[in-house]
Amino acid sequence: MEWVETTGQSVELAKEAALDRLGVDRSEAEFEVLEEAQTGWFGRVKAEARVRARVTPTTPRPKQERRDRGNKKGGNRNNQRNKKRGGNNSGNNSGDTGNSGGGNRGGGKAAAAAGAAAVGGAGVAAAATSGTDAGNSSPQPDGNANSNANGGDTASTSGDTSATEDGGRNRNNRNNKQSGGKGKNNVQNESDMSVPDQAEVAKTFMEGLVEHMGLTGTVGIENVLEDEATVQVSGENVGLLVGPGGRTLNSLQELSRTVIQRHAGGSPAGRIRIDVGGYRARRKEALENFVGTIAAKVVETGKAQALEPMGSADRKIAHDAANDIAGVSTISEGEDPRRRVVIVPAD
Amino acid sequence: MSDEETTDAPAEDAAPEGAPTAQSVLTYLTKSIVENPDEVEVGVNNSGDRATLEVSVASGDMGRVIGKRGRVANAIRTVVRAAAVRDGAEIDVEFLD
Repeated sequence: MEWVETTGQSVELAKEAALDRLGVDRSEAEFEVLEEAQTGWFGRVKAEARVRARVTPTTPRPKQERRDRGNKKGGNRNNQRNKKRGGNNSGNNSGDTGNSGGGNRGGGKAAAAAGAAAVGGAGVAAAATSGTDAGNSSPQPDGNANSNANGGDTASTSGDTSATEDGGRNRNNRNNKQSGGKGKNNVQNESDMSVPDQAEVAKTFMEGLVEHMGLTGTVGIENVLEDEATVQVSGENVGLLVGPGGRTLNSLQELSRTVIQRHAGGSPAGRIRIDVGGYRARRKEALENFVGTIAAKVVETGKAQALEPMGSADRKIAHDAANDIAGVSTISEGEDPRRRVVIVPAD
Repeated sequence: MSDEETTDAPAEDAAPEGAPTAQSVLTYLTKSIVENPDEVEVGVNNSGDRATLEVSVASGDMGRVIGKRGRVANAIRTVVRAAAVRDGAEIDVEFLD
């Protein structure tokens, strides 16, 4: 990615938005202010500030605060940005998305920028969120959902506890714990449980859940490939398992993953997708439509637009959809879990 | 279709009009995740504005139930709240140390 261009109600906010889009820390980016914001009466913004920014090509990565990873909710923003150059601690940072929806990250400024972040318009950003909740495996949407939904003390308590438990360690570590402590720190604890076996574990788990929910439904396994399978729940009233914006479904995805890991004694290869009533297919369609809308805007304005960060499955949907459209192409930028698709004008 | 799936929920002080589905689901989810399912206990605390389901697990399982940055705990909450819809109830879920 070269330059990105963003707008905001002030130069500062536009810069924040640009940093969000680049996914790097301020110290790693350079800016050009294209236009100052103009304010009219009563402080109303007549014209938004425009800046362009890029990752400074040769600046060495600042090393501060790396050890704080995962310990503080408020410390994430830097982490996310540092990650651009800081390697892939995706395990640790995957939790970060839990905060992004709640405006928790960073500080007030960060939260403010989040609204304007994605594509220079809250409308589009919001649309992106709803459009991309879709096929995300656990991380994002359920994080978003929960940080809003849980609000109170309970949520922060558990967050803190978790930081104490896991703080500063990586994903492998937790897997080790889950498998009863076998394995050493920092050694990837892999499991060789096959995809069909994993799917069976998830199926049994979901069947039990349907029963405890008092729902009538059946659980089947679909689309078994070498490295993925879908566990599909169907029946009446199963919409309850999808929830608003797919939050409940994404939570179930997360829990299924945890259950599979416990059974497998580690992290087995492959992806078991949980679906309810064909929801994910419908969301895929919605995401494709949304990408079409954004692509049209990119063609019209000639300006690149970044989508919200989303999981790899959704990014693939977005790439595929956009690349079918004349006049645009796509790139990805940032590191998981903040990796995102950018739709750029083709030239 | 039964709303009364309480067989798995040992909650000693469950109010009869409480949230049996939510409790049952909470117990089920927690037991599915921990290493020591026999030590999972779910109780109801009615002292607040709305019922709080309180979960305790073996101390070694606490991290597992909460997950990194509370992800697993939050996922459990989301699903249990969905279950509570079946009870017509609003509940909180707390994990007790």
